[in-house]
Amino acid sequence: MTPGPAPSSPACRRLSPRARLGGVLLALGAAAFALGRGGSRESVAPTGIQAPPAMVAAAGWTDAVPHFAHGWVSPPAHTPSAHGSSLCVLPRGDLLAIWYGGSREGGSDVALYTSRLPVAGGGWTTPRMEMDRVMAQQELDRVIKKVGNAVLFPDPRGLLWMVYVSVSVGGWSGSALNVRTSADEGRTWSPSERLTLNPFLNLSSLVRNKPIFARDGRIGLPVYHEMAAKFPQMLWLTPGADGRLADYRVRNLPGQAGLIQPALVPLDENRVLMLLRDRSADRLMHLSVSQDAGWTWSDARHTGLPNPDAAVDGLRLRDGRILIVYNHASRSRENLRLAVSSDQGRTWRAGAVIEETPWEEYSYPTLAEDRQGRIHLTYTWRRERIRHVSFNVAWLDQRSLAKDRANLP
Amino acid sequence: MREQALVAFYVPAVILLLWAGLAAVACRFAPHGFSPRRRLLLGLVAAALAFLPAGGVPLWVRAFSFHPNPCLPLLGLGVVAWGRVVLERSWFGREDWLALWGFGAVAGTVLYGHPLVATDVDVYFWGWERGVAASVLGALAVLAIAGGLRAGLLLVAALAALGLDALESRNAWDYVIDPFYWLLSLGMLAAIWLRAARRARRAGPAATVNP
Repeated sequence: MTPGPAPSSPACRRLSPRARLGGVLLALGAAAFALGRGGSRESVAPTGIQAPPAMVAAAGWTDAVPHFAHGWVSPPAHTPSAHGSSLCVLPRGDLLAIWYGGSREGGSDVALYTSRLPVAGGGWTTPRMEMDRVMAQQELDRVIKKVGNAVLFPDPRGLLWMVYVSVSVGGWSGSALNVRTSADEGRTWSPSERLTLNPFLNLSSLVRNKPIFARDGRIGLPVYHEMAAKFPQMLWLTPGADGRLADYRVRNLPGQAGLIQPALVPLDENRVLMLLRDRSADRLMHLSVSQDAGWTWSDARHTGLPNPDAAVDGLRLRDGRILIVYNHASRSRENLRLAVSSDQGRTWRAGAVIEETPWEEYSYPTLAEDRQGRIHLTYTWRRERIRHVSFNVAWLDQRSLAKDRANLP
Repeated sequence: MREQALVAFYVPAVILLLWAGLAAVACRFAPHGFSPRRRLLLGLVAAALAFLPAGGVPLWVRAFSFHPNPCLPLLGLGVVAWGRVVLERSWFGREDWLALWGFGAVAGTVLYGHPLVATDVDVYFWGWERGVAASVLGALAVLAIAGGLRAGLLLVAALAALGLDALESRNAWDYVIDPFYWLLSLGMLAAIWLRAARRARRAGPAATVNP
């Protein structure tokens, strides 16, 4: 395409004064139209976040007997590879886990599976395929090469949300996010909706951890960007009157360059802690704090705990302490440990070792607390299966004390 | 419903761009002109191509997979190119082209470049602020049109499309800039600058020899 015809051509002349006037009016009308069709646009910090479970916990909670149990979410040989589980407690009390499995990570046969642990008892249900490449392709009207990380969470109104990664071009850094909702606790789902979160061909939006819920109804989901520059972002989802997605917007967090997979832990009604996976050569878990319900964040600082470029998760216990699960190593994911902070993340006390086998991988942990105050942990077990561990605070304290006595790291 | 509206907007856009491209190529191989009937026939070919399965997926779906949010200036350029090669009408003058390339180069460089620099400024976020975005784009459109530039009408089209939520993106900046338009703008500005530099170099010695 080259510049137009010769200046003498009538087409090359500038607009006539009359046409200019008409054009200006048209421009003003179009601007007013775009403004008027704005819908619900939330652009200010939330007034606070909904109280974490500890603040609404039933009084008289007396689970003083140590409890620890373990089992499997995914059955043996369900898929050759299983990874990236996420876990949530449903409004009626069931636990629901989601993960992706297939021949290998990133394979075209990879699908998202869910399994339920009914509150009434019994074990994890047979995995149900929720989304694969072909389904995503049909629902999103585009080519999908693979699906990946997904998170599940119920909002305060009881609607269950699934946010998952899909890739049309390239590797994981070419990911985009999609949203589905369920009004019946995951038995049926709405069609997927693609979120546009990045200006450059909407490439490189990923999700790993659970959100926080603002008092005004917005959902603050921690997401991250991996292409060219790596940094965390806060995705704010605004549910509409029907509960489904009405609006969304994403904010970059510039003070956390090189850090990804943010995990949020609400400290109180305004303060939130963010734990971050370190992709830099430092290999140290970082944290950042928000004083305004997740809207703005302090520059990240390291926690003193190692991080082998691996996902972490955290949970605020009912007594106000913070529990984290992470790989206590700088280079490998061959162990999975707990640690507890009583001073909102300033110092950490070593907790139980959940897994430790040289040369094996235990990764992508996710934590949830049920109504009875039991803590549930799911994680990738050697890339083969998804393992489930449950314990209570009494067990946690017992193990921490034993570690202190033995003077273990 | 929204997905259907997106497809209804996207498919004609793809056909139009394909048509313009095919017509441009065809005209190059027919220096003495290309009959209007054949040009219209190319439109049908373009429509057929858009639905041609490539690896089991229609071509427009492949385009949508990779580039779901073509900005309005890029689509406008497609329409102008289509007008030139199919209707043999030139709607834009030199100033319009320069304004379009200049806008694309600056807007794209700011939007795509700033996340690589760790600052508190988050330009893309402002695109979700309809008040800010519509005011900025409206002001730019008014300035361009008041200055007599037809290219300003592409910003008007972008505002109208934003009001109609015509693209998958809900961010206003995606209606006025996309990576292809940005790269095309940079390329065209570089070409214009090189041409001007070459012309100046040629004019220099000539002026010395023939004062």
